[in-house]
Amino acid sequence: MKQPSGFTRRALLGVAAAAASAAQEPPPQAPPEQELNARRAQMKANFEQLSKTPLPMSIEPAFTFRA
Amino acid sequence: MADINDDVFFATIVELNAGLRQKQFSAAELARAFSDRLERLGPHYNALALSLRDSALRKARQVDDDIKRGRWRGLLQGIPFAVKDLLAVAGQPTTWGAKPYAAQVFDYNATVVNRLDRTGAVLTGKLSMIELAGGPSYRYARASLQGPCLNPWDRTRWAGGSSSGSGAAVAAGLVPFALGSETSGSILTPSAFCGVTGLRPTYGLVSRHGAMALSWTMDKIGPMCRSAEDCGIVLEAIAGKDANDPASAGKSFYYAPQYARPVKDIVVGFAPVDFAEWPESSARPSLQTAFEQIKSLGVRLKEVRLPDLPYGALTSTIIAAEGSSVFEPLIQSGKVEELADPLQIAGLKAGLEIPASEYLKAMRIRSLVQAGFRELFAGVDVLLTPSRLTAAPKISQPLDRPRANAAPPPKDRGLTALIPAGNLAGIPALSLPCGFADGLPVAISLVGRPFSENLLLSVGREYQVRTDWHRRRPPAAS
Repeated sequence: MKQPSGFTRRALLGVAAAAASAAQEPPPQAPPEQELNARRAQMKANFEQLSKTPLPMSIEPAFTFRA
Repeated sequence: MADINDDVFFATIVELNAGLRQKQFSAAELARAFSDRLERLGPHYNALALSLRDSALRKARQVDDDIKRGRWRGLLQGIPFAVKDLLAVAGQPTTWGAKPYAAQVFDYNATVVNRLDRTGAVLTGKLSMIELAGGPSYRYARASLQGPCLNPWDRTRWAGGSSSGSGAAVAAGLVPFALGSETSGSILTPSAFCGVTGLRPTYGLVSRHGAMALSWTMDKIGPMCRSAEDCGIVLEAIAGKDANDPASAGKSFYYAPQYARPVKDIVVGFAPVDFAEWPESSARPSLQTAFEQIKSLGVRLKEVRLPDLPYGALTSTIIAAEGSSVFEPLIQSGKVEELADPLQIAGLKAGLEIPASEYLKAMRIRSLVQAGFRELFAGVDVLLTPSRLTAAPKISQPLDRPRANAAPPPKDRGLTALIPAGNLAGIPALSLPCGFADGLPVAISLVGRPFSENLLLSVGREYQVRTDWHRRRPPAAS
């Protein structure tokens, strides 16, 4: 990914409008640590689901998606 | 001065091309009219990220010069379009819908933008999106720099995500077509909720160079249009080998409806429970009618089941692991806290903790998903399913919780996991508007083998020849 370059006047106006819109958004409601722990618990539940699928040694990771 | 009215704003690419050839309007008049409309109504739906009026008018005048000299380049010449703000346009902000990237500017175009530019299509703007294309997950429709993208059919409803602005802008007649992206449902969902026709191409068919990465092994870019035919025209322009995309399949696409197999030879797989029990009750009549209409095309039907695999856990693990790796600098810098959605922030942080063993386990099970689809497609050509089981939710509804008063789910899963399953396998899908539920669009999806886009488009085209759901216009879009 290449580095950012300079702005045009129109671009700056667009960014300012977008930032103003974002500033109107209400702040997150749930405590962040609680959200993070809930997400970790969800991930753990996902891992448990994955572990129920039998995987013979011959099954390799899917890194190509060609016909 | 040309009379550019609603019929023009809701015309297909083929119809607009005919208008240009018959000199009903010039490319410059078209670009000006669509830019006016995009700037006037785009903010009304929170669909507009950035107007590119000046460059659009310059490009359109070049197109008019070409046309005056008899240089016709194809159906897209002079046709306005817009792209999801996840695609780089040189010298213009590319925000990925997220506050930490609000000042980001690239000095090059995404490959798909260059390819459309070469056809003479006219880029009029960039469209809003869910921040970071949804990341590992998100809870609120408002998780976007522009705020919640409002559905043109009912502004109290969400347009869908993450290609929200692309769905809303096409539905409201702000552009004839748009580009969106899908990692797991981000083209199909807004297409279904907004009543437009959306195509998720086979993984690797369309270059992702210049697009924000969320999941290197699952990201796809595709068209959102007024019809299946328009999707074919746009896909032909954007598909093809690209040395700048390591996942490029090296294949081209030629839209060739004239060579489509006879519909009576096509075997369509379906699960009855998908239409009879899973959809919300208000959506069922339209979806069941659509099923009958597909049947009446003369296709052969066959009941099928998806292999019993943990599709949701797979997509969640893979997207979280890859997405958190992509955005590790954002997470480590602390700027991740500037994102709008608390679930997205937590998901990105937690994703960094996914062990390599779990990611690899998910990728190994993904091989079983691919094998399962190969087996499934040995007996059918196309899978048919509702695109979504409900119409668009209220913009205030948390997206990670079931609706109040939702009925208990049926025991038979049918093909309801086809969005995550199809994305895991990298196979194409086409969403077709098929009616309404309480005044909001609902849609069916056709899903096929890798690189079978022409087959999906030919069935979709046949369906749209016999129905007019794709021609309906939202009441509030005038």
